Amino acid sequence: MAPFATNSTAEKFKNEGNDHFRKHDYEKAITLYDKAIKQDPNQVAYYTNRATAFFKLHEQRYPNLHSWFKTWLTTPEYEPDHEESKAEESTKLLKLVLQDSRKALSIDCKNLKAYYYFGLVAFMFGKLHEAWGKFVECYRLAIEAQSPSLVDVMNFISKLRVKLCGNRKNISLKSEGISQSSTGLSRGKFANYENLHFLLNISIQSEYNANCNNIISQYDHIEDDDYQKASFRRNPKFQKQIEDQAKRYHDKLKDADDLFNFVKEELNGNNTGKRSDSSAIDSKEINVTTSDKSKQTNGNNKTDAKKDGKLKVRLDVPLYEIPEYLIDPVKYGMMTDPVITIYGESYERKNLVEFVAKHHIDPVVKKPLELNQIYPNKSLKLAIQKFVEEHKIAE
Amino acid sequence: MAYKRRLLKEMQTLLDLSIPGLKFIPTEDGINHWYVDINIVDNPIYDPAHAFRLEIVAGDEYPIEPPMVKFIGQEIPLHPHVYSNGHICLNILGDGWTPAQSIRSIALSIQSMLQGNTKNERPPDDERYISHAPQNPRSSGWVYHDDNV
Repeated sequence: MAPFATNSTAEKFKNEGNDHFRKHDYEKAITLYDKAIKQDPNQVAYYTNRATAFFKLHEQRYPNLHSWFKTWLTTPEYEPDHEESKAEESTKLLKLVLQDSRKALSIDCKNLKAYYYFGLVAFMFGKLHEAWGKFVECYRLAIEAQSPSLVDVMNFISKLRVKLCGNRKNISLKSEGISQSSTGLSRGKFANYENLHFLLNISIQSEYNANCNNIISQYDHIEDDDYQKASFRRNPKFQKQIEDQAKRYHDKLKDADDLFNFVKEELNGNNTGKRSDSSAIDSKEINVTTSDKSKQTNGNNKTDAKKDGKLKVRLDVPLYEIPEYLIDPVKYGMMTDPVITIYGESYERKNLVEFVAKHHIDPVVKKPLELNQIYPNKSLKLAIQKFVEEHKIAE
Repeated sequence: MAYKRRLLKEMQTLLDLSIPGLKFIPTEDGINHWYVDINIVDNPIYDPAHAFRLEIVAGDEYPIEPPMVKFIGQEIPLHPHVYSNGHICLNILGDGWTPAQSIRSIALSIQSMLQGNTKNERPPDDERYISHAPQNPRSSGWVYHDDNV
């Protein structure tokens, strides 16, 4: 423990530095931390504090850049070409943050704060994968330590994940050094990602649990009586909220799986000719879907087959030749089973039902509409049949 | 893939049509992904020469569900219903959506929303919102500040 014993003068400098830090006077804080480090170069806290101060100073000097990074994080299309990000002064500061966090990690390899700032700066330099790795480590430590900053880390990690996921076109795991590595190394990386997948699942799970508990506590708070406590679970509003949470939870899990599978493919896939491979898969998928469709149509009855014949004709007619009054205002195709609402508007039955079942509104008139207020439009149907027949003859 | 047919038709009309101050730009990402450059001419708040870029992405559920619409680019127009991350609080992009509306009508609504603007400011809860905003503005549970947009 000898190198970790606190040096009283160094500690004094640190505390003074902390005071300046709280007053947002980061430059003075940094000079005080410098002194503390000179006195006692083995204290992790001095380095992490200085890294934090450097980072805050950077934020103070370049507020635009920071708000820009926040938007960059949430929009996958953005590319890092902000002018200020190339400013020498700014990179110098960020490199100081990196330097201090590295030093802190060399002393204590389980320092959460150091990983956090390391990850942030890596992100700001556009090294998303490196940032990702640091944040995952940070996340694991935060869980172990039950640190209050867990929420921050989780927020950042989930945003970063969306960014990595949304950036699929530009994502290049290879350029991050995986291509040069041998298969053995890439397998190692893969194991890392497997770990990460597990961690992500845990984070999603815990978020879900927290959200559900929140909802329950809301209702708990309203109803004190024990009997009513049991009854709030039957409250449709409560059930809906819980269902929504469950749905979001499953969506997120699916996202995580998608990302994982993507990474897996990327790592297993041959590095050369990867592009042509993916396009081949795409075309295969299309083939599969079309063959599925043809299977369905083949499986139908003979009467349906007749309808299919008409359907083909309908699809072959170029859109602009169909008169306006035969076109469904929802999906802009020609109607085949037209219905009329109590407000006199006509729609394709399937499309209208799909919308009304969810929103209970007539799409054009924007007035309340229920499913029992819809009737078949027989004359329009005759007009459609006539139009189809005429075109058949014309062709 | 019914929505694709509708988008095809919308695309035809959008590219033919010329509305002053609106420029529809298709992207390489597919027929469901559009940029719209909006110029606001007769409002002193905005530079008439500057085009704000709107991103429109129609999902698989389009037109039953509204498309995802937000401002992108370096400059987000100042408006009490436009957050600094580009998200727009407009009822037709959420609860007020019906399939009878279209990409064209959305672009027109947003243009007129900016044109009629008299306040050179962000929404009152801007900072709070952008600190926890979801990536897709449609997943925000909007509370509409007022209806006279």
